[in-house]
Amino acid sequence: MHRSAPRVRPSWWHRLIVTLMAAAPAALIVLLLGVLPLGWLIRMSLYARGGGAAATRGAGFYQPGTWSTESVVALWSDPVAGAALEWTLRLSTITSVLCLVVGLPMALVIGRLSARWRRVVLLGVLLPKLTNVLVLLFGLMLTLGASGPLSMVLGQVFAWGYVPVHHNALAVVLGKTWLLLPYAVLLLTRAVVAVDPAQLRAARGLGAGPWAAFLHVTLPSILPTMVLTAGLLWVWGIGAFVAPYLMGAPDQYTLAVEVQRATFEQMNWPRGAALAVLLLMVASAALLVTGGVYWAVTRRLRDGSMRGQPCDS
Amino acid sequence: MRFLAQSTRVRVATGTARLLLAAAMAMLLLPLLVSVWASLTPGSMVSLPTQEVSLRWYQALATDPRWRLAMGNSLTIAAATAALATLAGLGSATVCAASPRTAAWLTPLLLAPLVIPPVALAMGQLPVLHALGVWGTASALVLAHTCWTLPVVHLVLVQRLLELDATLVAAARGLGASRWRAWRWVVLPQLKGSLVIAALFAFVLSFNEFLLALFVGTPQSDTLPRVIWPSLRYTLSPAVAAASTVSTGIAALCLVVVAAFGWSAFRGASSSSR
Repeated sequence: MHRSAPRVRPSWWHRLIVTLMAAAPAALIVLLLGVLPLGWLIRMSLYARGGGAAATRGAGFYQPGTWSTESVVALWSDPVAGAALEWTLRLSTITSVLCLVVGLPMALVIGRLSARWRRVVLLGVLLPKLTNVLVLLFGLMLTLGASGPLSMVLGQVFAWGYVPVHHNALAVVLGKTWLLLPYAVLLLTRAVVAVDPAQLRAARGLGAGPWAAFLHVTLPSILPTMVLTAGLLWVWGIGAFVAPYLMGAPDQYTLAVEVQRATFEQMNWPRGAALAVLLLMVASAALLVTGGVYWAVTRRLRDGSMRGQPCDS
Repeated sequence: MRFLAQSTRVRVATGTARLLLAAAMAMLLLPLLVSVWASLTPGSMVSLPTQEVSLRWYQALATDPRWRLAMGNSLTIAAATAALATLAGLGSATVCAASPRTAAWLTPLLLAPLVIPPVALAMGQLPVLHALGVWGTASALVLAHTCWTLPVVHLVLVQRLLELDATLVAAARGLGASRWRAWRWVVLPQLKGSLVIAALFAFVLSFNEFLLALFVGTPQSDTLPRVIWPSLRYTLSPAVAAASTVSTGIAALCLVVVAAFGWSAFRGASSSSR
């Protein structure tokens, strides 16, 4: 492309400075409040814990300047942390799968709507994500609760009491799924809309039924997004805090809840930090697995399409 | 005859699918509606009023100093967060859209707060903000929220920047405009709608953010979710429902404005490409 040279051609360092200045505020904020905190968390987990009485008065959450691995080592044989880790992984896996199972059909239907209706529905999907979590779960508990509309209807029709969703595992799974579902719908709808309609028409024209067309055209096209969505929901599920805390019994407390309890209820900051580091490691591992599967799936799809073979065989 | 049967079948299938979608949407939005409904109770217990409604809990909200302080704090913090995140995001988005090489390392860094478990992030931010000397002030929450909303702002702006017609900038440059002038008078005006959308997202996300506020906030910098939290966990009062309605109302308002701006930005894009 031809471009008439400006009178003074800016030197490379001039451009570098401009780039740095433009990117600096954002990079600085994220480094300072997104990356540095993680390092500090690791450091905090290596403090000796504060003395008993002082700790309850808020003076000695930990002993500054000390190095000790006691809190980290103690996690290995901590039954509470072990149970929390197990439940966290189970909850996040279940919610991720549930969101995909409910979200994919929703996305497929939304993707077929007219552009105007699609916008309206997507705004409706987005609305819950813009109000706060507490409001959402409060509303959900009211809706499902003993005096909620659902029980009124169910009680009238089936003479059921009410759905037993009060401080149990079912409540937590429902709550977390309900919190994450909008993300699944938004991400998957984007992918469904991006499917090439010409390919779909071609498949149908060549005699493929709706199911075959879905399997051979739509599915390969949205598979990478499905993997990414499932992985993201998994990672977000691992960080679950409010739903288990509000809707669960202590048996359903996740790692994130235990972090908060260790920090603010037991005033044991090194333990809280050690739990947070564990949480961080689990989330990172989940992210790595997601990245790996995504990479493998996209590579396989690309190779398959280059060889001109069906991709799902 | 066979064709007719098939088209009827397709119509039935489509109708059923849409009906199911409507049911799912109702399930998704019903709890919001129910909390609005509960806020209108005249009684002092959380219940769904069926005989009479009253606005007494909104009055209680408006007169209670604790709720008033929280409301004011939430609005101030959200506004400051929106301004800061949008400015920072404008810079980072411009750089990332212009140079794929910079984007390759800057984008993962900027998006990291999206996948860090919020509890871990919040707990780590606590000592950092303490060391910065802002702990206990509203600024602490503004910084925390800016870091957390920046990914959204960045994504919205980068997407719009990549949609822009590059030949317009090239034309301006060809006519002798400096890089800065081309950006200021060609790129920035086209970004206006997206800037409003990004700022509104940052505003509403910060306004309703709970976890960072729980860790980083103090009673002096109470925000609305921070006041809702203990009343939700320990003493369930209809005031919570009223506060919830305020929350939802502000979110819905922002969404309507976003939709309006998104609409016009979309129209502008389609008419300029014609």
